[in-house]
Amino acid sequence: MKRKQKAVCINLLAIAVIIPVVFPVYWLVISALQSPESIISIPPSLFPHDFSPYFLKKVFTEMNIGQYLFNSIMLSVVSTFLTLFIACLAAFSYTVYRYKAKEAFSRMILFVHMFPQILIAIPLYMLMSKLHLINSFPGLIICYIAFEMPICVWTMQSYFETIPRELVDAAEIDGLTRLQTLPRIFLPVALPGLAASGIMTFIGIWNNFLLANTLLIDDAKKTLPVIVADFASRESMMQGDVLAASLIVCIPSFLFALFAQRYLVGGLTTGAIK
Amino acid sequence: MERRTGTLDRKIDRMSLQGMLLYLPAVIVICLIIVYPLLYALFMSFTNYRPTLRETSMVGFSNYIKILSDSSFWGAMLRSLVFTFSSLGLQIVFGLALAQLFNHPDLKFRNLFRGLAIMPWLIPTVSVALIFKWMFNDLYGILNYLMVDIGILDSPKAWMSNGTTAMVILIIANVWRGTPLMFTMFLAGLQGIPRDYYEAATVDGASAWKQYIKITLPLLTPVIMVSGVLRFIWTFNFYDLPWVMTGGGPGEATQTTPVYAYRTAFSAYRLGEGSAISIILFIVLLGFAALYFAARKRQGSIYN
Repeated sequence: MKRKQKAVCINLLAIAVIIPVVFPVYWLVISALQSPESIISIPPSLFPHDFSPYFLKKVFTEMNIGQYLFNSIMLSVVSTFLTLFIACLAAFSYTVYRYKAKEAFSRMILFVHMFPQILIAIPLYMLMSKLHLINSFPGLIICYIAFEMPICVWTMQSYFETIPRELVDAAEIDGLTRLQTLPRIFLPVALPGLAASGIMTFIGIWNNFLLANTLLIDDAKKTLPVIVADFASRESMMQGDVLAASLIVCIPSFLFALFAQRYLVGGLTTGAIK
Repeated sequence: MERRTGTLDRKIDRMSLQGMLLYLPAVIVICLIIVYPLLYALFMSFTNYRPTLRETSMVGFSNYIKILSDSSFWGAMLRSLVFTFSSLGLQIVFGLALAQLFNHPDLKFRNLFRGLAIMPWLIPTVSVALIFKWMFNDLYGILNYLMVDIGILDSPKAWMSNGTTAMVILIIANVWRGTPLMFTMFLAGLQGIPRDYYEAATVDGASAWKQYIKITLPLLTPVIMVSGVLRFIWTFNFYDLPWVMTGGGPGEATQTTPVYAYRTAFSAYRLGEGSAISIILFIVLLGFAALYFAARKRQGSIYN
């Protein structure tokens, strides 16, 4: 009986604790879907019933958010693929080959992982303007690759290391060159790691604000997070517009959470412990 | 040991070259985006470079002297420390509590709760900043009205226009955003502690609290240490949230170091000075990096 009471307490406590965790997300969704009248009702209601897609429609039709959505998708997809490609090569090299510079390379990666973006934002701006790469997507993509790569290299390395050496030797005896073992043996085994790294990288790039805000100047080239912050700083903007746009920035994360939660938790754990 | 013949030697050489070439793209990208710009900044920090100036000249250490004697710089450093320590302290406490609670054997729907607990991490920083601003809005903010309803407040308050409360809300938003990472890490740590430790302790008559202090916390400490240093560096240099939420204001009340650096460099495009700040922050980072590598080494020696 006493145990049962304790179990009820634990469950009630869990519900009480989860409310502040979830509430801001709930409130964002609810607010963004209000009608223009009900979003500014005083006092606001916790459970409003006057829903309307007015603001969501408005940001697409009047604020051209489709353009920024396209920019963000394009940048994130291309950068993610390039990051994974370069990271897989590096991780493969580290796991399979022997050479002197290896440890130095690995340390360099570790250092970059630690490196805060603000430290390099100002020099990067100067350098990119000198090279006329300001305002260009390729310039930004290289920056994204540099910052997102370290964690991918580690994740892939930890998967590659689980592959027994004998398997690789046997494959080489069977006539595969060492390089061919990457697509034939290593990548298939590391597929879950590749998925987790891909999702983490995509989200990291999608959410990036500082680099995009520093290196993209033309309004038409900006990414979603940058333009949303821009909206918020304009006096003429209505709260509903800003919140609807904020909600749209969250969409890919929500999709991953719904359909790829397993990889998300895996990626989060490697990211947290390493 | 293999007997080394000439051909094998040559094969090893060719192979190690191939290995290096495979790593090379990663190294090139890092040199291009991090090493080279840093060296460039080091050079520019001794100049008075501004895009609007016709000529750039060497000014020696005057940029450094100017920044290090600027009270705004030290104020920003102090605010960064306050922001970082309070955010991390609370994130660790909440992360530990959530991990303990959501790992409890009597909890139903454990996976649902764990999934929900990760949610804040999924929200982009820009959206986090704007949601919290909206919730604490002086006219329409839902939290103002909730606090009035419960009786904590007499009437809605303009939280963001007061320096202290703006900082508090900035910290609350950052704690909300960062707790899931701590929670996930601690949960993984908890699950790694063998059950029989607790069983043995129960047989010896140790209370639950004592078990927590004597077994759980010491075994989680290495995890806290390594990622703690890393989180410290990132939070100290966290630009997005303060910039979008308060822009450093009101006045300079929430101007942390990264916001100060950005404002100094870009408000008047005094990029020479901006470079000097970058270099100063880099030197601070090197100090933390030494700490981080030491913590990793200690963790390695505990686990292996």
